[in-house]
Parts: sequence; structure tokens; C-alpha cells
Amino acid sequence: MPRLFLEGPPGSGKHARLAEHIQQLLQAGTDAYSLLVLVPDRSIRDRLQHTLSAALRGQHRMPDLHTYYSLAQGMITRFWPIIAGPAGFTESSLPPTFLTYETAQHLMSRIVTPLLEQGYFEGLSIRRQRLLSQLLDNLNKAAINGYAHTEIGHRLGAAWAGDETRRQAYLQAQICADRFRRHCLERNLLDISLTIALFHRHLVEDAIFWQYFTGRYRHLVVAHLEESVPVAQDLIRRLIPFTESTLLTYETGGGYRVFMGIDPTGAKQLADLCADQESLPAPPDTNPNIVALDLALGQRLGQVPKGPLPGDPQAALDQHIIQKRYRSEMIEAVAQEIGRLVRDEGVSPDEIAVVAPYADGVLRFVLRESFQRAGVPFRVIRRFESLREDPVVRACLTAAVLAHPAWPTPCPPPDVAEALTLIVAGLDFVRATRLAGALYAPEERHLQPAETLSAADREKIGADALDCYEVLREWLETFRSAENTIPIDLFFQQFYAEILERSGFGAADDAGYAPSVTRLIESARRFREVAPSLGEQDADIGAAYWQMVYSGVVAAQYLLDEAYGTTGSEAVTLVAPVYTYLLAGRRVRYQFWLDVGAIGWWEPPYQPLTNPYVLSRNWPAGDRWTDDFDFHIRNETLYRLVHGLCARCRNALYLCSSDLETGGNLQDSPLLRAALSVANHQRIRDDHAAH
Amino acid sequence: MITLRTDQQGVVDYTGGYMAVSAVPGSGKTTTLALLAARLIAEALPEDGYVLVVTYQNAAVENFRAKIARFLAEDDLPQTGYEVRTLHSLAYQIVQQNPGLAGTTPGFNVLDERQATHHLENGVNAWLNEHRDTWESLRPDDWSVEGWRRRWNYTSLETAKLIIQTAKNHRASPAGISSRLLPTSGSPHFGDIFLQMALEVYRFYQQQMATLGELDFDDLIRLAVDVLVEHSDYRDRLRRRWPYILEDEAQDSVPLQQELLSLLAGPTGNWVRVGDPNQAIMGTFTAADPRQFRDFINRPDVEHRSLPVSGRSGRPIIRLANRLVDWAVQEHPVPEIRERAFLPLHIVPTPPGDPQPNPPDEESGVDMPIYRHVDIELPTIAQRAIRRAASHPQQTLAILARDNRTGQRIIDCLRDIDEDVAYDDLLRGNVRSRDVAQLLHAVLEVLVSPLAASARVAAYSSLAEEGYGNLGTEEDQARVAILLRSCPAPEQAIFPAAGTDWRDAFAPVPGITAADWQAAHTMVTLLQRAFLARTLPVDELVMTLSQEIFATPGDLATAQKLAGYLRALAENNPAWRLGELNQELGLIARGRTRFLGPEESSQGFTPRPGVITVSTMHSAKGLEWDTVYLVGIDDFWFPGDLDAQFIGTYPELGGSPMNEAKARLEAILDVQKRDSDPDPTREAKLATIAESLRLFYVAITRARHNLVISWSQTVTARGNREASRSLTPALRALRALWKSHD
Repeated sequence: MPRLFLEGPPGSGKHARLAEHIQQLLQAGTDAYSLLVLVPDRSIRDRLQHTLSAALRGQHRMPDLHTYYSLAQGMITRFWPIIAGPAGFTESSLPPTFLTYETAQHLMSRIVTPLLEQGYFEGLSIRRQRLLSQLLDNLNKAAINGYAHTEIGHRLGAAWAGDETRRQAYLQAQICADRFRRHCLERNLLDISLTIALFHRHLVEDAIFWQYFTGRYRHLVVAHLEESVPVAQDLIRRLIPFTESTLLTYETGGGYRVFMGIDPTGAKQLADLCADQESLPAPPDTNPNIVALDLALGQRLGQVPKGPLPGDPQAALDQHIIQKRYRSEMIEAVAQEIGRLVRDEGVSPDEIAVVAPYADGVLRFVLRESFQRAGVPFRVIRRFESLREDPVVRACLTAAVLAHPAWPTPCPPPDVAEALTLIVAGLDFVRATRLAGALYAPEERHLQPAETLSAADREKIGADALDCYEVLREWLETFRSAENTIPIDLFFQQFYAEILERSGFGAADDAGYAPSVTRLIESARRFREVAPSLGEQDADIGAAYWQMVYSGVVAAQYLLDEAYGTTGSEAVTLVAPVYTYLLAGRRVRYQFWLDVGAIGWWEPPYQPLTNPYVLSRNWPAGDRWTDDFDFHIRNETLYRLVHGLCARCRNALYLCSSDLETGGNLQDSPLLRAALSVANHQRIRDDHAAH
Repeated sequence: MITLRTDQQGVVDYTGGYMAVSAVPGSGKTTTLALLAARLIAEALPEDGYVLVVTYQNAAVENFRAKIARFLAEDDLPQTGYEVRTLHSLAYQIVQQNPGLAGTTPGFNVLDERQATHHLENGVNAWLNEHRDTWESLRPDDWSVEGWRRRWNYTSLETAKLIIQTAKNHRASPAGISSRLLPTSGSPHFGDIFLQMALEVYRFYQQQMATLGELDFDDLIRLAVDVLVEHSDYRDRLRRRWPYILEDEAQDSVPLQQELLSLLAGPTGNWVRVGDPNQAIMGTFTAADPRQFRDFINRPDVEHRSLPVSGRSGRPIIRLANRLVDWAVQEHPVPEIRERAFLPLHIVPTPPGDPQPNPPDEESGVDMPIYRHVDIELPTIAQRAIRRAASHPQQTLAILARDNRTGQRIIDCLRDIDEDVAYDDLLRGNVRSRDVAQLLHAVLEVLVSPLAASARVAAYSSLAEEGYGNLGTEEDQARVAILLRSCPAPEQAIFPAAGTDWRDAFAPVPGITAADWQAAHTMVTLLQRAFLARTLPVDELVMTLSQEIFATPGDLATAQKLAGYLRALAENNPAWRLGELNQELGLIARGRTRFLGPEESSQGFTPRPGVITVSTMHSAKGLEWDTVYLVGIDDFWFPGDLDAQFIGTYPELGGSPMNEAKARLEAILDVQKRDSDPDPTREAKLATIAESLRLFYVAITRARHNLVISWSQTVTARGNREASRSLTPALRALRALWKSHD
């Protein structure tokens, strides 16, 4: 039985080998149905799908590409009747409802609100949404580590080295988890944690299921094993002996999302189950100076033993430290340097990646503007935090409010003006304000016909915009008069297809709308499906959805604007956070690391109510969380990022920082110190040589 | 190379351990401390260690940094090995590096005074509404319900502030205090009722902040201390990082801040504290206790040095300052004050040949006029200042008042005399933060009302005044403003339609030059960017604009605080849009309340020659002028004995309810009070007398060449009442000295 553990650094060809392997299996007559391909997240799934589609050219059926979660969800749906009862669901005869991250927050919010009023979590200062996501994280961490959610409070409390108040808070977090889980079991609601727990603790243990599963999946392929969670590793370990072939790929030095509970060390141990192990060499275009810089930074972060370097770290840094007083100066300098590379050195924009721990509005806006002026194509791939932040989403929600006059939701004129600027292509906010001021009646939430406008206003606003306005108005009018009660997600779908996509409207010439609206539709659909189980009446679901979005629910961490690796965009790309870039499988000629002085490069794992390490199954019972460990872990994680980035850079990288962050606070991080130390060390050495 | 005096060299030769340096005003302590830092970096610093310099004022940070950088450069050393931070930024750093340990998350928001007051006001109002019976039943017959409620409202707010501050300084939570609160027997004293009220407001206040992920300044220090106390391994790591701690203005440290530095230094660490116990004037605003630094000086494990030599003021002024100290220490009518007000430390003029000698006697003078009425005093002093500014345009001068209200009246007088008088207004602490708020408010208002010409012109004027871009001279601005007003189609100017010219949007205005068009274009371009950024969340919008408009760390820090405040408001009020949020920003811009904490006051302010600074005496700390006028030095603001009238003491509320409540809280928390009067109201009066004397000392020592101290026998008090004032004993003592030299 071929069982291969294939390890290699970035760019060594693992992805291609994996695709080839699948292709060969299919060409040899293996039924795609018997092939299980496991990937760690949706962006890698999309990338692999892209590669496979190109390779298979429709000649073979595409095998199932699953994340562990999507596999669990699919199997639970299929085997629901046989496990619902034994797993403790009260209404086991009714089908399950899967909660999204957003709807889970909505539910957790309902559970926590009365408890907060009783004084829960006193002494902690956390925004509501963060509190909810930490409570849900606890449940998820228990599930992906394969232990009962009832252990959360105890595990957190036992590791806490501070005062008693925090232990109380952990017990309260446990109560929240218990109540949430009970509520889910009573109503057949499956959040991520319950889905995983149900699959791992019940379904996989079920003989009927296991017979089916091992009978079906005869070939196993795992991409980026180092990014897998412990229960996924358990499943792989259990499945391998039953397979006819297994290929596990593992990136050397990878494992970037430890904060999400992945376990690269446990993953590596699966190599023992494979008869063949192969290590791929680094790609031939590896730059020795960048390797030297990688090691020099690692030495300063205490992660690499002191010793000779294979190249000159200074050469990799030469002229490539952009350090400014103000952040705006740093951003401007970055934009100029990138402009120079593209213009004067003919570097293709897609060979330039800009990475930052967090792509805030200031950074996105200023870079976009600078690149626009310089004519450099630019795009942003970032983890989006909340739907409410997205102006396209807000515009669609405003359209929904205008279409549903019975909703008890506010819709002030500035919302309408903002929506008009997004809906009508080329309409600016000043003209939109004039338009809304003249034609929008806030009391009835009604748009008046454009013909009632004065001639002067018509001229100021422009005929094209007014034509579009009329189309929109009539569409809304028709919708209102039909007293249409289509589900909210379908409303958005219809609105996108019939208005936004039309010529002259926002989405017609702007590819950025589609992902926003897709996300909105998906989010609204999931809400609509779950809403009855959350006690919402059918008629109120749209308004309740509006309410939920405006409350600022946090989107799932793995959701991105778009996948970096899949499309061959010809643009300079800003990617945040850093691991998003690392998982995208792109090596580029030039990297710009922004805000290297920001604490975001050195994120603390210890959150007030959760901690991925303490909640890991490997955490020794009774061990306390110490600062030494915290410091070590943070440096280790930071170096993992540094190493991952260096391994994905062929020509040169730029370390960019400002003394002061946007808010005027001094920036300081171990990465900045390490980088300056490498640079200074070199400078002093040069000075000595000169003397 | 800088030449040091012997006393300064003694400090720079420090090798390790605890050292306290008492430094008189103008003794060169910043330079000395910066030199010490540079020396330690060069000679003593272990690898991976940093010299930590801690100050209490933002303004001092840059000054220190520049000096240390210069000394390092002179010695050809790399610019590394030191960190200069305010105490708040140090605490911020400690919490931010490990927020989970402190019970918060990365990106927590630090509240400023205004935001905190907003939460407190809500808490107090809720309490007053819920406990109407309690306070109404105590209303004396001669008080109206309305007036009585106002009295309670104000006193409750002040009491809640003091109690919360005290509780936090003792690291006591609302629940922790409540669990130790014993029921009072018999009819409760006002102090008990106000304590109960304050504790309920404390709980409400903390809940409000917690759900928004906010911390106030005191929380920041408290959490940093908590983390260091509870997590010794983190503390040890920080001790390795900062093996030397140099602290400036140590007399302003509050007990909890001292504890923070003490934890960082460790029992065997290296900690140099420089301060002037005689300039401890923050007790009014913070929990600073002037006795604390004096106690530190006297500790057996502390090496004590002095920097008594100062070349700042002329000898007549130094004589007055020294006389004030001697009089208070030896002759003050209240015996306790002799111990409490001052350390008997004289300012010593520089010896011959000193590189920074005192102003010559012939260029230095003192005057002490007395006026019948404040309505004569203030215009006369204003007139004198204007004349002085005209006759000595190269010199700096300031009028210092005891309170903001008097300061405002001085500004009115200055403007009555000369409408175009050049003055800098340092009143209400931080004029600059109001400017920043005003500027942002003006630009955001255009985004709120894009079609309003007035908003456009106001934004232009604010930006032009700020010196943004090249928006024209004052004369040009009038024309550009007319041009911007004459724009019936602003959309055409800001977003011109394809194939058209942006200038077509304007109606013809006579006399417009090419430069005017350029200024208008700069404005229009900024607005275009602002409109494009409009879809960002409010805090990111504000910061995007701020990156464009402001260029100093102080302004950006202010903008960031404003952005954080607006974000919190937006989260608290989901129905609010930019219009409502900008209205709030307008309230800050109008400056009824100080926006930032005390450390930011007068940040980065440098007196300008020929321009009259108007300031309170508190805000003048750390600054100096050639000529200083001190007005209103009377027995109301500078009480001479315990029978005087004291602010915060109300017979109808049984004395000083806030101090009574504080004393009860301290009893509950088992706070050991040394040398304190058992009667809380009396204790508060003693503290007030002592601090007002030190404030007087600070005010006197702001002057280099000339000092004018005035007071009036009659003043117009609140409610337009005429009130008589007496010569305060301290001033009487100084007048006697002055006359003997006259």
C-alpha cells in the first residue's frame, strides 16, 4: 500500500505533487467517490480545486475536497437519524440546523445578556462581540481537541496564576458554554463546536458509520497537514490503515494558525504511519541572503542557535529598511518604492506582496489612493471583521429597508445618500446628498420620482445618475406594491441581479461587489434558516437580520474577501493578517512587511477568557501559564511567520515601520528590535571595518 | 561638551541603587537626568537592557529624547538603549503587551476625562432619580428643590470621581468594597450617603466601560500593578528589560504609580527619582500625596542628593520664593502646615562663572499692587501686559490666574483693550486638543452637510488657520472664503463631471488670483479625499483625515483619542450617524470640559516672544517666562487658616461630604494614614492650605526677570455677588520682604 509523507519548504512543489497524485489515481481508474481529500481551510480548498480543474479538464469527476468541518457536517447530515438520539438531541426526529459563526454569536448573545446583568465577568473589560467570540472559541477549542466542553472552565482555571476573580470568570464562562450547548441540544442547533464534537465523539465511534466511511474512502490525500487540528489528525490516524493509498503533505516550518487550535507537532507524528517519507529540497531560486536574514532574525528571537550564516543578511536588508516617524510617511514611502519597482524596474505588480498584521481603513485607503495616482493595480485581501463595516453590504441593507416599509428599522437620509453612491455607478456623495435631500421622504421611507426635481438640480446631479435612480426607484416601488414577502436572502439576490449588476450600477464595472454581496446572501440565508429556531417569526426575519448585522457581529476568522492564491490577478496585493499570505501558496519577488513595530506581529495568545494553548489537549494538567512560556511561544510564533515569509520571497524584502502608530503611540515589538539589531550590528561591523 | 555644576556631577556619577534628587525650579534636572541616561547606556547597560526614563508630562518626553539622543551622538554611540515614556504610556505598554493577564483584549480603548465624565454623569443621574426620597428629605427649608438637586448633582459627581479614584488607587473593586461595607447605625451622616451613592456609581461606571472594552487612566495603572503583582515572571522579565529607571517630576507620582515603578525596579534595583517636593501641586486633580516623595527621600536605603542651584530667576524673585518657604516652615499660623507645606530647601543662585547665570539684579524686579476691586485689577494688569509686550517684543510674558474663569476674564480684558492683541490661551488645560477637535469637526461637518456653503467655508478657515497646505495669507483667505461660498454646485467642484472644469462650479468673484484658485484647489482636493473615505468606520475616517491634516505625535494622539471616543459613541448608539457623532465632537471643540488627562496639559507649548500667555497657575507648571503676572492672590484661593472659606465644604451638607466619604472608604479599606487629622473635613482643609502654598511657590518661580503679584479687596463672585477678600498671610509675609528691599 503506498503511504507517503511528503515534506518540503514553501515552493518545493508539494502542491503540484499532490495534484499530480490525484490525477494519477483518477487516470488509473480510481473512482473519485472513493477519494477523500482533506484541506485545512476554504482558501486552500479553492486553490486546489482550481489546480485540479485545470489538470483534469473535465475528463474525470472531481473528488470531494473537504475541510474537517465540512466533512463532519456532511456526514452528520447523512447519519443524523442514527446518532441524534444517542448524542442527546431532544428532537431527534427533526432535522439538524447548522449555525454559522454569526448565528452562533447571535444565540450566545441571547444567552449571555441576562447573565451579564447579573454581574457576570465583572472586572473584565472586553467589548461585547469579543466576549461572545471568546466564549464560542472555548467551545470550539474543546471540540477540536476532542474533549468534553464541560472541562473548559476547569482547564482555564487550573492554568491561571493570578487572583481568584479570574477563576470565577472561567467558571462563568463554563456556565455560558453549558447553557449554550443545552440550548443547541434542545433545538437541534449545531454550531461548529457541536458539529465537530458530534462527529468526533459519536459518529466516528459508531460501527455502522465507520464501516460505511472506511468502505467508501479508499484513498486519502491530505494537504497542509501541519495546519490540521487534533481531531482531524485522530481521524487520519484511524483511517490510514483502511486505505489503499495515502498521501500526506507537510510544510516544513509551517503551522501558522496555532491560535486557532491547529497542532503542527501532532501532525508531524503521523509520518510514522507512512512507509515512505520524502523530503523535497528548497526551490533552486532560493536567495541565500534572505535565508541568512531569516536565520539572523531567528537568532535574535532566540529561535535559532547562534552560528555562521549562509549569506549576508545585510544584503537582504540593504536599502530595504523603511523607517519613518509617522505611519502616513511609511505608507507613502512604501507606495513610492513599489511604484518605482513597477515603473523603473519593470517588476510585475503580482510579484509584489505587502503583508501587515492588520489592514485597517487608513492603510487601505492611503495605499489605494497612492497606487491609483501612480497607475499601479492594487487589491486588498484581508480578514473582514464584521459585515457592517462593508459599505456595499450597508447599501444592500438600506435598499432592503426601503423595500420593506413595515420594518421597524431606522433609515435616515445619510444612509440613503450613502446607499445611492454605492448603488449608482459614478454617483458621488455630494450629488447623492442633493438627490436624497430632494427626493427621499424619511417618514414614509419613500423615494419620489426624479421628475419632481427642479431643472437646476437635475443638471447638477446629471442625467445618467438620474436615469439609474429612476430604475432603482421603480424597482423598489414594484417590490413594495407587490407586498412581496420573499426571504431576505432572495431579496438580496434579486437586488444584485436586477439592479446592481445592470449597466450603470455599482457592480457592473466593479468586481469588488460580487464577493461582498455573495457573503451577504450567504449570511442572510443561514440566518433565515436558523431564525425560527432562535425564536424569530417569519415576518420579522429580515428586520431581525438587519438588527443582527448592525449589532456588529464578528465574521468567522477564516472568511476572506477573496482567496489570494486562486486567481492570477495582475495587482500588487495587500494581505492581512500575515498567515493569510502564508497559506496562499504564493512566492513573490518582493515582499513589504508593514508595521513591523506593531504588537500585531507578536500577538498575545492569552485572552481574558480563552487560550488556545491551555485548551489544547497537550497542555499538561495542572501546569500554570507562565510568562516564560508566553514569551517563548510568542517568539516562536513570530519566528514561524518570519521564516514562512522569507521562504516565500525570491529577491528582496522590505521591513517597514514608523516610530509612532496611527494613534501617536510609540511602536515597539521584538521583530522591530531584532531587525534593527541585525541592521545595527552590521552597521557597527562596517564602521569597525572602515576604521 | 556641557559643563556641569558640582551638584549635577554628583547625580551623573550615580552607580546604582535607589537615589532621590530634590531639585529646585530651574536647576537643570532634565539635562542632568539625560546625561545620566547617556552615561549609563555607554558604561553600565547590560545587553538587551534599556534605560527607562519616566516622566509625567508628554511635553517632557520629546525634550528628554532629544537631549539623550544628542549626548549619545556626541559620544559617537548608536541611538539605542533607552526608552522615554510617560507613566501612562509605560502602564499602557505593560498592559498592551499582555492584555489577557489584565482582563482585557488587544485594542482596548483608554478613556479620557470627558468620556469618563460622561459615564459618571449618567451614573449620578440614575442614582439621583432612583433615590429622590433620600436627597429630597434632607433639603433645608431655605433651599429650592431645583437648587438642592443641583447642589447634590455637582457634589455627587465630584464625590464619585474622588471615591472611584481612591478605590482604584487601593486596587479595590466595587464588589470588593461593598462586601466590606458595614450597615450604619442611627441616622446616617452625609458622608455615608455620599459613599453609598459613589459606590453605586462606581459599579455602573465600571460596567459601562467593561462592555465597551474601555479603561480609564486609573485602570491602566491599576491593571499594570495588578499584573506585576500577580505575575512575578512577567515582572522579572520587565526588570531585565529595564535595569535602570530614571523618574522625573517624582513629586507628582500618586501612590499607585510609585508602586508600579517600585515593582519594576525591584528591591535591589536601580531607581533614580528626581523631583521637587515643594512643587507638588497635583493633589487637587489626582491622588498624589506630596508627603510620599518626601518619605522616599528619607528612607534609609535611599541616597539623597539635591540640586539647589538655579540660574532661572533674578535674585529678587529667588528671595521671595525662599521667603515663602521659610515663612511657611517657621511662622505659618496653623502649626501643622509648618510640617506639611514645604521641605526647607532654598534656591541657591548660581556662583560666578556659571554657564547659565541668573538674570542680573538690575534686570529683575518685583511689584505687588493691591486693587480695590477685581474689575480694576484685571483690566489694569491686562493693560500692563500689553504695554510690556509692546515695549519688550523679544521677551515672553504670561498672566497666571488661579482658575479658568478668572483667566477667561483676563482674555476679555485684553481684547477689550486691543481687539487684535496676540495671546496664547492655555486655559482649561489643553487648548491644542480643542483645536484638533475643532479642525476635525469642521472638516467632518462638510461630510455631514456637503451642500452647506457655511460648512465648507468654516472648514477652509480652520484649515487655513492651522497652516494646512498652502491656503493663502490672511488677506487671501477672505477672498478664497468668498470664492468657496460662491459655489452653487459643490459637487461640480469636488467631483467635476467628465469633460468639465472644476472651476466652472464657482460663480465669478472679482479679484481672484491664480494663488487663490490654487488654495481653492487644495481645499477641494482634500474634500474629495475626505468624501472618498467617508464609508470607513468613524474612527478610521477620523484617523485617515488626521494623517492628512496633522503632523505631530501630540495631535495624532489627540485625534486617536477623539476617534476612539467617536467609535465608542457609535457603538453605544447604533442609530447615530456621522451627523450626531460630529455634534459630540463639536461639544469637545467648544471645550466646556477638559478632554485629555492631566499629563497632556500644555503639551509641547513654547511661550512666544511678544505674545501674552494666559494660563492657570497649574497649567503653567514646567514653563517659564521673562515676565509673569500673578492675579487674584487672595485669601479665598490661598486660605491662611482653617476658618477660611473652602471650596467643596458645604455647611448644608455637613462639611466636606466628598472628603467625609473618602475617609469612610479609607477606613473600610484599612488605609494607614500617617500624620493625618482624624477629622476628614479638617484634614482636607489642611491639605488645601498646604497645596495652595506650593502652587503659589510654583507660580512665583515661573518668572525669570519680573514678577507682579496682585490681589483685590473686593471681587464679583458667582451669581454676581460682591464679596470682600483679605490679604492672605503668605502674601503679607512676602510684601514685608519686598518692602524691606524696596
